Amino acid sequence: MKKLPYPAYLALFLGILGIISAGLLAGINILTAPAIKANEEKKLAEQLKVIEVESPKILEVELLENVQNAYEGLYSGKEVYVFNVQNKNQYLTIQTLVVITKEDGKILNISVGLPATNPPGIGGSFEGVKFGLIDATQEDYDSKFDKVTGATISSNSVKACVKLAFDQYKVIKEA
Amino acid sequence: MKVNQKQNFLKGLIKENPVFVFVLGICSTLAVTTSLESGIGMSLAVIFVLFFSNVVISLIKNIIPNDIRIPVFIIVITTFVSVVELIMQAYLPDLYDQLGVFVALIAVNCIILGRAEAFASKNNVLSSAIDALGMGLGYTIAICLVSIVREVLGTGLITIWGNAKINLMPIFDFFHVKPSAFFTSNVGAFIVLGIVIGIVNAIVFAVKDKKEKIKKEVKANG
Repeated sequence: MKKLPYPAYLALFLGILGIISAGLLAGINILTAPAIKANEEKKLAEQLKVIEVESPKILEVELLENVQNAYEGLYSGKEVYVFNVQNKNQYLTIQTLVVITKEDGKILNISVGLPATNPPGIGGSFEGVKFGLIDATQEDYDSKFDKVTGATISSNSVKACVKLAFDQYKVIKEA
Repeated sequence: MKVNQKQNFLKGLIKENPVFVFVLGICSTLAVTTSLESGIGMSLAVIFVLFFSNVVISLIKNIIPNDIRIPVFIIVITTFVSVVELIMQAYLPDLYDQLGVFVALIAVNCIILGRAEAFASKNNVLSSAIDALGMGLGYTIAICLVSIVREVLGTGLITIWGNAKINLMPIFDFFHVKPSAFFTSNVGAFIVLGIVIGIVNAIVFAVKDKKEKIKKEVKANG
């Protein structure tokens, strides 16, 4: 039998190792996939329970940077999109759930929480501060928002999240 | 090469501790030591990857072509990192969220690649496995020590696992001081790690000096 050239032997070795590795990972993936899916559904249900969105479904759309998830569902009888947006600064991460109507792009609710990824003592589960802004458009949410937040939380971080949510809304509408 | 297995295991704890002596694996040590719980979780993940990668590399060391040994080590290590990531994501989701990207970054942890290159690729399976456990335990000691200091000074708590917490606030109240979030910040991490490394090395050197003095005295007295 003809001897394999050395570079081809190296490539073959790496290829075989890669196939073994992929096989092992595929097996582990099959075993863990149901538990991972169940965890994600539980997490989603917990988050959306906070803002009382009914029949939530994950939207399979292209997400902008810092937009963690996009959902659709029903809020106060209206069809809405829910955007889970994060804003990080040097010390902590703010997680914001923004509920925007599908039809006319108005904010129905903004909920702000500190995810568990923050340092202990700062972060926690998504319990959040509910602001519940009703019928704010992109143009007037700034002024309405300042009135309700006061100094409770860094309003600039939340505003940045809401702006991103509107940008994501536009991306979905234009698609 | 014949290896004394007891020494092989014990060397990783203090004498060749990967964090305190070689200053390896610092990225994760700084990042996840905001609570003892995340420190323990990270340590378990590192021990798992270190153990299995050392064993596999030791098993296949004779058939690995020397020219591609590093890519081979990386494939083996990343495979076990992905395994631990999937398992953690499935069965310890809260811990997975806390550790975030640092679970995946175990793949580039110098301790693991370092042990693969310096030890597992030159020794038998048993020695490599014991070396991995010793080094892993050394990493655990280091990361837990830094976590405890940072968490206590930063929050006044020690989070052992989930809701199992030790509240040390009464001690802070007794001295009329408050925990400072500075210690849970990135800057605080560098400072605490530096001080802990300094103290541990000072103790190690002091013990070493004492032992040498005793040896000399014994020699002088015949």
